[in-house]
Amino acid sequence: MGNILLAPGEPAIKVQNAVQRFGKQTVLDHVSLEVEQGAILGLLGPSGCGKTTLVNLLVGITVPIGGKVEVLGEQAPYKNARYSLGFMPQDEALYEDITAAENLAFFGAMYGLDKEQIKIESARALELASLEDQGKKLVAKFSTGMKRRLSLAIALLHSPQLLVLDEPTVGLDPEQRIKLWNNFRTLAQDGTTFLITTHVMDEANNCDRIAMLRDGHIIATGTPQELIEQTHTTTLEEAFLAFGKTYDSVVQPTSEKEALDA
Amino acid sequence: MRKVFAIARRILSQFRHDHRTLALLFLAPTFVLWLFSVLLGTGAYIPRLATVDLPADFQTVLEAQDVMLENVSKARATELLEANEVDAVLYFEDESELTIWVEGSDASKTAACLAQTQAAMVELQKDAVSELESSVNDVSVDIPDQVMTSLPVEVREALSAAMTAPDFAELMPIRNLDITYLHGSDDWTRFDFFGPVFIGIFLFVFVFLTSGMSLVTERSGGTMERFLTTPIKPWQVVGGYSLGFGLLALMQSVSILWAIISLIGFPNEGSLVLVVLVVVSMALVSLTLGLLVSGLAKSSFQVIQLMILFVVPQILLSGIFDLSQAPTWLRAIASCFPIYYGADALRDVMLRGAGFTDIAINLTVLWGFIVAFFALATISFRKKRARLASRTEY
Repeated sequence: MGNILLAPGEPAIKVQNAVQRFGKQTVLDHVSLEVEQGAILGLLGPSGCGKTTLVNLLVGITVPIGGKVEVLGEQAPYKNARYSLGFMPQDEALYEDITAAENLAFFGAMYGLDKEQIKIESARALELASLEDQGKKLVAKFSTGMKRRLSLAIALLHSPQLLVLDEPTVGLDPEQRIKLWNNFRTLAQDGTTFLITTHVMDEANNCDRIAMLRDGHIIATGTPQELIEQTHTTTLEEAFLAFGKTYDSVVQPTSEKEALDA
Repeated sequence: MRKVFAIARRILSQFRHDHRTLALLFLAPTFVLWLFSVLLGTGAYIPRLATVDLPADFQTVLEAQDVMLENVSKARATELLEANEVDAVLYFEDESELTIWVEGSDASKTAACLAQTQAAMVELQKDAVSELESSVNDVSVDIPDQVMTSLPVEVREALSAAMTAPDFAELMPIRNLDITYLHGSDDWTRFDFFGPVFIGIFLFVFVFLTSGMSLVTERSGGTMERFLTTPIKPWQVVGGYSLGFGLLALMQSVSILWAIISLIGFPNEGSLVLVVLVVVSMALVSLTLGLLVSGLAKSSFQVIQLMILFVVPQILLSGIFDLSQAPTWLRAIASCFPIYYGADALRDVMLRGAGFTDIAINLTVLWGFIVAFFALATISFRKKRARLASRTEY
C-alpha cells in the first residue's frame, strides 16, 4: 500500500517539542522523540502519564498545541501517511453488531483496499491474530482476548509501514503474547516501524528502544540494556523508578508551583 | 465513492444482524399510526342531551339527529349535567325560547350540542314553513267566481290582496342545504385530515432517532477514533451515513405508506410515487439533521434532549393545529421548519390530489434543508477531530 517517499535514513516518527494541553492541564510538555524505520519503540509509563495523548497526536486524531509531529515524513493531517498508518486503540473500537469479517472488510475499504485485496488481507490478518475460523462470528460474541486480537488484525490489515499499538497485549495469554511479538519482529525486519505503548515492564524488553514517559515528559530513552546500565539496576522496572526519582528531584518544585497555579 | 458505499453497507449489515431493532423500526410507526387512525377515525362526536318537557314535534325532530337523548325531569337533568353524564340540557324557559344549558368544559362537545340542536331547529322550521304554505293555499280556494264578481271593487281588491299567498321564496330564501365536496367526501374522518401530517411526523422522529444515535454510539464505542485515523474525508463519512440510513428510511417509508394505505385504508387522492418522493425527502431532512445533532451530542441521553429541542416545536407547528389564523410571528417560525413543508405537501397530494408542479416549492425547500444540514454536518465532523481530544483520557 505504502507510496511514501521516505528517504532510507529518515526517521519514521519525528516529534519535536510537542506540547498538548487540556484546559489548564499540560499533558505533554515539550516532548521530543524519534523512531527509526524498522525499529520497535516501546513507550513506557504509568497510566495518566500522557501515553495515549502522544499516541493520538501520532495517528492524527488530535493536533498539538505547540511543536511539530511528523509521521512518515508528513505533518498532520497526514494526507498520504494515513494510508500507511496502522492504529490499534486502547479500547477495542470494533463494531460489535457485525461479524469479524465485516469489520475487516469495512476498515479495509476505509484504507482503499478493493474487494480482492480485502479477501486476501483479511485471511492473512485473521491468521496472524489466531482467529482463522471466527470470521463469520458476530464480534459481540467474542471474548475480550479475541476482540483484542481482532482489533490488532484490523490495524495490520493494510500492511502499514508504521504501526501504532496502544497496549496491544492486554488480556492475551502468554502463548498468544509470544506469537504476537514474533510476528512484530518479523514485520519489523521487513521494514515496518512500531510504536508500542505498554506498562508491562518485562514486555518492554522485547523492544529495540524504550522511551520512558512521566508527567508528560520523556525522562529517558535508550535500549533496554542501556537504561538498566545507566541506572545501575537489574530490571527495567527498577530503572524506571530510578529515572523517575531523578526527574522528580529536578522538576518537582516547578510542577508543584504549577499545581498551585491551577 | 467506494468508501461511501462501504460505510452504507456496514450500517445496513449492523441493522441486518439486529433483528429486534429492525422489527421495531417497521412495526412501531405502523402500530402507532394504526392507533391514531382508530382514535381519530371514529367520526364526529355524538353529543348526549337531556330534554325536559319539550314540545312533541321538536322532540321528534331532535330524535332524528345524531344525538343520544334522555327525556327527564328538570331536577334529574341538573344532576346528570353536574355528573357530566350529559353534555347539555334542553328546556323551555318560556313559551317560545329554547334554552340550551351546556356542560361547557369541552368546547368541541359544546359545539357538537349546538350544531345538532340547530340542525333540529332547521328541520322544525322547514316543517313549519310547509305547513304554513299549505294552510294559506287552503284559504285561497274557497270563494266562488260569481260571488267575487258581485262584490264591490274595493272589497275585491282587499280580498285578493289578503288571499295572495305570501312569497315564501322571499321570506325564507334558504330552505334546504346540499353539501358538495371539492376534495374528499362526507365519510372522511378527522384522521383523514391529520393522517398525512402524522405520517410525516412519525417518520421524522424515527429517522431522527436512528441517525442521531449513530455517531454517539460510534464515539462511546471508540470506533470513531479509529475511523478518524483512516484516510477518509468528512464528506465521505456524512455521505456514507446518509446513504445507509437513507436506504433504511426509504424502506421504512414504503412500509409505513403500504400499511397506512392498504391496511388502515387511508385515502390517497394523488400519485403514490409523489407521496413516496415527499416522504423520502422528509426522511432525508430528518436524517441529515440527526447526523448534525449527533455531532453536537455527547451521550444518547443528550440526543433525546436535543430531539425535544429540535423536533417537538416542529411537530407542534407542523399543521396538527391550524395556523392559517395564527399570529404572523408564529407562522413565520413555522415556515422555518422542514416538517411544515413536508406535511403541507403530503396533505396537498394525499387529500387534494396535487401534482408535481403544485408541490414543487415545498420539495425545493425540503431539499434546501437537506443540502444545508448535510453541509453543516460535514463541517462539524471536520471539527470533530479536535473535539475528540477533550474526551480522550491520557
